Amino acid sequence: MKSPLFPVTLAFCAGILLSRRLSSPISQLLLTTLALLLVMWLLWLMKKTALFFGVALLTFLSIGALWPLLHEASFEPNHLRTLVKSGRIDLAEPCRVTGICSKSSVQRGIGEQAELEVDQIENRYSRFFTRGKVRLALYYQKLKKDHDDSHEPRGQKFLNSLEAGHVAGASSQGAPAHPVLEAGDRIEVLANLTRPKNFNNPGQFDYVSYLERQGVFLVGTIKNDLLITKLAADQGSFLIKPIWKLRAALLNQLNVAFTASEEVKAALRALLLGEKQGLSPQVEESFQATGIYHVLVISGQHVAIMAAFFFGFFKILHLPKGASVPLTMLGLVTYCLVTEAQPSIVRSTLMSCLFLIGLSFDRDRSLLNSLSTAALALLLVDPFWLFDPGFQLSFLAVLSIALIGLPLLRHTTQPYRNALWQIEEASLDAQFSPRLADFRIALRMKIESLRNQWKLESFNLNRHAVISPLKVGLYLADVLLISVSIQLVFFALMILYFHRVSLLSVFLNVLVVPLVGLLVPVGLLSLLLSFIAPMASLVVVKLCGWLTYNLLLLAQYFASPSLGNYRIPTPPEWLVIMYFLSLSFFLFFSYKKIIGALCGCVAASALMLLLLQPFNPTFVPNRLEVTFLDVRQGDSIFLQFPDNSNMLIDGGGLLGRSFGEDFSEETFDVGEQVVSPFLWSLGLKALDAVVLTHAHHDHMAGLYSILNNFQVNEIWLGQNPYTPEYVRLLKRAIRKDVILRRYASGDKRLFHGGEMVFLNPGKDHHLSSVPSNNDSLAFQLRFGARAFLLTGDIEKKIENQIISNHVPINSNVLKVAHHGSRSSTTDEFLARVNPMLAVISVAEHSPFGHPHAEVLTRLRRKSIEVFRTDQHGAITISTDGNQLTVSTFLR
Amino acid sequence: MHQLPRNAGAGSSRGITSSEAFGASTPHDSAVDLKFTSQILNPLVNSLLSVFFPVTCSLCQSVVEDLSLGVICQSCWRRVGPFRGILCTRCGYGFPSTNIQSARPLCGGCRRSLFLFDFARAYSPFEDPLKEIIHQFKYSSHPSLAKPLAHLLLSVYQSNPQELSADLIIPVPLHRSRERERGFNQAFELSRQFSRLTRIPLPTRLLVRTRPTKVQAGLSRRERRINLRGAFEVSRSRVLEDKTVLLIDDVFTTGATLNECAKILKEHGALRINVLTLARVIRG
Repeated sequence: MKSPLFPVTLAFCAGILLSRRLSSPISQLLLTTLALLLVMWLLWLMKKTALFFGVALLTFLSIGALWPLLHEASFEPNHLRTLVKSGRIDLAEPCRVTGICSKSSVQRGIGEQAELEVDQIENRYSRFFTRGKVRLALYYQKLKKDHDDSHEPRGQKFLNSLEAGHVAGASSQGAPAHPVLEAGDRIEVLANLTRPKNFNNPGQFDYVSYLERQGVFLVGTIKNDLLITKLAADQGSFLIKPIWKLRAALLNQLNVAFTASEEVKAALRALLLGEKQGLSPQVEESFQATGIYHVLVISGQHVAIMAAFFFGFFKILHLPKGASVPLTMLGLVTYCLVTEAQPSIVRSTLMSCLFLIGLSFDRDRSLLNSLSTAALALLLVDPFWLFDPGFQLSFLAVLSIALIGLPLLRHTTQPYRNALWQIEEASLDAQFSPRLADFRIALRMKIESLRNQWKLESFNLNRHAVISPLKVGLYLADVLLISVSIQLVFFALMILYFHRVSLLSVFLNVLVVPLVGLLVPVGLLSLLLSFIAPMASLVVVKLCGWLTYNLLLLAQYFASPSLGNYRIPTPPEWLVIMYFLSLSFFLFFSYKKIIGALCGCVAASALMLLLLQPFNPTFVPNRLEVTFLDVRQGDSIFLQFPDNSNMLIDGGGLLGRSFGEDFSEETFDVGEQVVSPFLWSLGLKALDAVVLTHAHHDHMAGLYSILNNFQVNEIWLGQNPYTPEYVRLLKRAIRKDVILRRYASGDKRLFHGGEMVFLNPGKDHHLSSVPSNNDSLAFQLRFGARAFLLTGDIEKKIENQIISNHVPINSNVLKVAHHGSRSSTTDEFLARVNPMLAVISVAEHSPFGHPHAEVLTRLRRKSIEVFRTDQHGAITISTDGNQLTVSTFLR
Repeated sequence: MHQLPRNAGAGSSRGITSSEAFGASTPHDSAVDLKFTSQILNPLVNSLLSVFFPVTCSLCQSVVEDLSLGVICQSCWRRVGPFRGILCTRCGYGFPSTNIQSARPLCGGCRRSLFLFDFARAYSPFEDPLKEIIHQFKYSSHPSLAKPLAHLLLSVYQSNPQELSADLIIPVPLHRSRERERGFNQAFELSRQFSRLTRIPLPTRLLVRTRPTKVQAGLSRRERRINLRGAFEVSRSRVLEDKTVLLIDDVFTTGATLNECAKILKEHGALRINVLTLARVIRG
């Protein structure tokens, strides 16, 4: 099989990667491309074929480098992207946005998330007719918290109030689980829009680019239903409308027809229709931990199953190829659109269509070539997909099948499968190798003996009795080999992107892939059947529910950390490069014994190193480094001591429903998604100490995942009331054998070259029933001649107390207490501390108005240099005991 | 490869190499609209397709550039040669010996009048690479090979125009179950392409196989005959009355199948049966 497009696509991808490093202007690249094309033409005329192909690859490389620039230039001046990037929209003012919902809003935590295809955006000063998407977070009106009557359909209250308000075209009432906004609704909203923002720490997921790839350039929060006006329903182009309707109908039918538990229904929604929002975090976690998450989100595999299903179905109907191929393609495209066209689905749909076209024209169905075609097509539409983890995982999975899996099968199971073909014909034996001919003869003898034993005349029946189990066995061997070849690539990617290793995933996939292969077509069939004959579909529906239930059980069982699932830091870059290089060299030279074996050994040892990572984390010797992380509203401070031991103070925690984005405390775990990746990016597997200042959500929430993800030696506590969240954390710590230490004012602790002097809570500190800022564990960290004052959230009262204790507290760096609240950081306190630098850990547009202008003024009056996590991103202050240096992630 | 000795003078069929066969334009291909599709549209579609769907030769794994040749490359096709040497005047058997004095040589079978058909010709002996190509066509289901293979049949047809002329084409049928298993009937696909080239009508499902038979390969001549007894049926005999039939199959092995077909066709009133196959098994 030849794959002419593979090198082309590789060159194109390399070009796109290059354009990130290169900053040459568009004209320069354009000229280069044109020059290369000219050279190509000349070489073509001179019939220098080898040179021609070399230059052709260079040309594609330069087109690849050019493409992202062209893509960016292709946005019209009125596109939302251009408006936002050029700052022509004043986002300080609330905007009135009109547009069509491009998908139904989906539940996410305590609200719903909607996406609006904007056509008009206006505020006090300006009005634009535009294009692009806005993502909106609609919060239920305290629905979940005030009422625990779960039988009330979700969003019903919101809906009721919507309808009681001024909404035209009311949604149908009574039906359960109707989203607040349906795809095709044309609405007008009044909202404060913001540009999406990343957590600006090293090692963080680039959320902004992720949203841009989805076409989303602004985000907004709507907390009051009065701000939404439904103008009309059923809008949108005539092509997409039936798709939306079909999706809504299918989702609805799934709810009605399946009588399974909510958990199973959510899994089925994800499996069959790609709607993964309803999945509980526990289920998601169990699938992620076991490395089988790909079956839960609609993946390429689903589409391939659907293609086989459709094609087989039309074959049973005896349709000629000329009809069944286009019909199958139509079915696939519909399925792709109904499941909302994720890159992996688009990839797989494209590839399946290419396969079918190849089939009907009797062409090579080269996996590599159709993969390259699909990649090229997607990247031509949007070159930035290349940086999308989902895109990479999806394409690399198939690439590993094409380059590792299929050659492996060709040499292992394929000959045996061929040997089973027309087993009854002895005359064909001669065509096979001696070993396989023996195999055939032995099988025939087995069939004959069965025939005698069972006294069954039919040769066919006996043949099937012998051959079918063999075929099943071969199929399972295929799945195992393919699974191994995918995992060879996936191990590295899962570690890079998700910091996960699941050693059993290879074998688990052998179980799960056939299961899902059965579930998806049966599930969809029963779903369609339930429209026509609800009674008849009951059996299949039950079967599906049962299968899904077992799938969930399986994932849950294998998710246990004792079964080879663990978290791992970011590997060093050279190791990843070495692994992939040696792997590709191994594939390339596998026919050469010595070089092949050498490359294989290198690849295997690189894989071992990747999985174990026996490296020491990177650190600067003889320096204390204190990093204040950007965790929005909340605190998280990481300290690295000169002997490479470390400490984490607080884990952050988003306070829900308030930050202009769809992040909320229910769906976004700062510890898992912000603090852990930062620590992993440093190469850390263990923490020597974790400090909880006080039991408020914005300090404590992230620590739970930290305890799970890292080997924590000890946890330092002050005094906190036993709230459920706090108790949960303590229980976790005890289960993980973490040493609990309590400190109070007057205590001192020498810690790896630093000295901590505790200032709060006092020995006689009075606890109330709810956590308070004044519970905060505050201490001064002395290192050489320098000192840091880490205050937690202490308020004026405690500050005065500390002053009256007459402990020396003058420090070079002050962590401004309580995110710069007015009730802390008094002038007297500042005078006593007398810092050079002050750090404020706070969110942009903090809902509490932090940092308060007054505090900023106080700091400015004392001419203290202020660093803020909302403006500077992560702030690292490094000292050798004398000199202080500050570096920030932004600016 | 089994080389038949060249004897240009005594052969009854003129040797046409496969490349010549493809080069020759078909006599009936005269319509203007057809020219547009075949000369402008098809090459365009083909060259576009070959970027996205390259074709590798099923025999030698090299890239196939001329896409009218199916999944076999030009150089592999060139290795396919027609019968050279002396053929049986009646059934087209290629004598291994060149030393035959008779002006109208007959093979042993024909002398004993074993065959019920009147005339038979094959393009070439059943040997590699044609053997492998036919194998690819039949078992690896490469329908694109039907057209180039039909051109081979055409070259035989053109060199024996009188003897092979016919009113009807009838492919040797497969039983339904086997056709379903294989996906298509190779003889029918060949006949369809051949019928397109020659404009001889091809009635569908005239001759059918009523019961599945064991594969003939590996059976003796006698066993073959028993195996095939009563396996065929003519569905509409009126069509056959006084017609000359061209029976088409891929391989002529012992002729048992073709003979059985000829028998049943003659029973239903066919006047003359000519047999045209791609290859003929030559023993000795």
